[in-house]
Amino acid sequence: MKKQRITAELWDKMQYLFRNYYDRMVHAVLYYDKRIDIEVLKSVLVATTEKVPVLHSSFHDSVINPYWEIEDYSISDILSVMETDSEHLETEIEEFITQCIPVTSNVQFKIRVFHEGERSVFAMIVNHMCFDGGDFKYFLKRLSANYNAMKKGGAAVEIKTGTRSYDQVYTKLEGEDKETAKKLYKNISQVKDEHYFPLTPARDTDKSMINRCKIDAETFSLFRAVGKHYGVTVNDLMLTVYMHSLYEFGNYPATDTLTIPCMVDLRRHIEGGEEAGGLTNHTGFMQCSVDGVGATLNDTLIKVLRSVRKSKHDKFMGLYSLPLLKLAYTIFPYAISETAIKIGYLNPLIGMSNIGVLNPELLTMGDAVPVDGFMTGAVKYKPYMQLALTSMNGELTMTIAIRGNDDDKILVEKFFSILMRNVRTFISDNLKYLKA
Amino acid sequence: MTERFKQYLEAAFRKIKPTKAAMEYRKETLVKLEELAQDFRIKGMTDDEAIYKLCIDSLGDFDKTLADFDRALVEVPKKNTLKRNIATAVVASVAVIIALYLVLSITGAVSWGLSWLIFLGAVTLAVVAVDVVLMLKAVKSDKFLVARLFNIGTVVMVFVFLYLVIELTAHPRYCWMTFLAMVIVALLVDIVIGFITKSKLTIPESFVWLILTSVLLYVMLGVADAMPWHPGWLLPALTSIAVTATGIGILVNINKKSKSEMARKFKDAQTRVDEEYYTKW
Repeated sequence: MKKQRITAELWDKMQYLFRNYYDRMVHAVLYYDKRIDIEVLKSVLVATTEKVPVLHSSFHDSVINPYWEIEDYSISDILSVMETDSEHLETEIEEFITQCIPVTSNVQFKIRVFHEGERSVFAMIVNHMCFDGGDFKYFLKRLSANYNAMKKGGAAVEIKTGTRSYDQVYTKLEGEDKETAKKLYKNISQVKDEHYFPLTPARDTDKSMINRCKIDAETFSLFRAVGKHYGVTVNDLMLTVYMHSLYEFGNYPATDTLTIPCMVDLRRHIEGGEEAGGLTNHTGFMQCSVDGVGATLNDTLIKVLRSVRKSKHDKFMGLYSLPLLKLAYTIFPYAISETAIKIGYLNPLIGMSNIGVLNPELLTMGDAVPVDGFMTGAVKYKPYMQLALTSMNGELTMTIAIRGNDDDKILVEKFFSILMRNVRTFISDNLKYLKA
Repeated sequence: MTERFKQYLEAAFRKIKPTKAAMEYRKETLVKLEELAQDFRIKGMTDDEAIYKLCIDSLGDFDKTLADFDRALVEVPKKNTLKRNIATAVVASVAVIIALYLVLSITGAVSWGLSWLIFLGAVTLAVVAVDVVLMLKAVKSDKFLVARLFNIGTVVMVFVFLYLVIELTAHPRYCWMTFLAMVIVALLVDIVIGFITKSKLTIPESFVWLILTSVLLYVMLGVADAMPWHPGWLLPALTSIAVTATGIGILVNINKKSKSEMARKFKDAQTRVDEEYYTKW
């Protein structure tokens, strides 16, 4: 019997193109205080997977137009369970989440539940071509809600199943604004910034690694309080500390202009927000440029604000270049369009993605409550890197997912220590104003 | 602080008409003031009164700014008529050319066999005009690739037109040489633009041009009996030798510079001593 096909959407193709820069996986790990009921989870996962065909499809590259083909699967393709101990837990989590699901696989996401004593750890990876961090958060929330409903005897599973088309981002705009947005052909990836994160040259022995560093609740609370005092967001503050630290760590001349793209969730432009459409990618980016590092973190913050304000005031934030991509995929056969886009697209060497808050109340699994967790984007190949941020229970987890070696790990840890030092410096420099 | 800014702006804007544009301008100004106040706070200022004063001062003579704004609203903005003017000029030119063609042909001033060249001349002129516009745009955007490619097309067009005019009116013996001259001129124009725009490939392109020009001149002068084939062959041969020698000289010079720079860096890294190198990470 001929397998059923699904159209590959614009972002599916773009994420497939990004295989040249990273491993296309999105990752989440949630630490629960109690054990998760595997039988209930299995039922929820099968019901969810059935409703979202792209999750059990294989992707087929084609000269004219690539497509997804719906595949048979069993729950064992998706879910695995592992009994472990506290000594080996983190190594096993790392091993699981750093794997890469091939596009030709029959399923596009994998989950492993680690049971350690009376606790469980839920780890999930998904092909970025299926959905982005925004919908990953939505998926986890729905998984929790469906799990809880099923645990209470309900059988229905709710998850959005609408269109995966990129053009939903124009639904909130009207009239002239909509017309203008559909003509934003400007290629914003073409900002040439040659600053790179200093890592060792690529070696055959390099492997995927997700490096983590946590800002504890007390420090993060003070950090946010300073931000609140100045009326700036956590994103602005983290961008400041990140850029300031990069100048120091990368030995960039203090007067160099540094441009870092910051991921933007385009669902802000969609009528109905995260509940609208289907599971897909809706991520754009805004460029943050500073014309040199400030003498102090406060000076750098002002420079960052001057840059991000422009984007914040722009009602089309993140919507640039979409019409250009659409045009390329429309007028050329896929093979040519991919080459054309590859020529015109400059993948940023350094990036930042603030995935945002993971609300434990929306992620419970029965009476198991998440006490810790994080999400992170794809594992970048050298020389590319990205800092991803997630907060949960008042703590902030910073992650840098790269393909590297032990020497790179040391470098990343050194960078984290600079970041942490700068966070503390920023707090101590500004604490007096809070007390005042 | 925001409330004080709002009060100030509401009072200030009462001096002009309460239009929608004025309301939007007032909102924009409030955002600007708030952002400025934010910057002052981050810089370390804590005195709200001082911040407020500095922010208001930053507006300068705001009454005058507002009056100018209000006046600008009254004056109907001049329509951008450039596109319409261009369209009108194009239509008028076409009409004039057709009229000229018909008048000259019907009156017999120019034979029907030649008068069609008027159309080709007009098209060539239009291509030259577009080329000039493209070059001006390229200067603005600092992107010359498209303009340079178009430029070569323009030179070809001009030379084809010249060839037809010369061939059909004067029938000279060596009219075909126009095409050889075309290659020389096309490359020369590109080299001139390359020098002006500081293109990296201009020097190698100039070398190619010199050799090619010498060969073409040798052929043209030889065919036209204006120069004997021997020792005329020395023209391309000597040019090639001179160009190659100059090229080698330039490469040796670049190599020397790069070697001395490397040696300087090496010496700096090996011999320069600084206490900071013990602890700097």
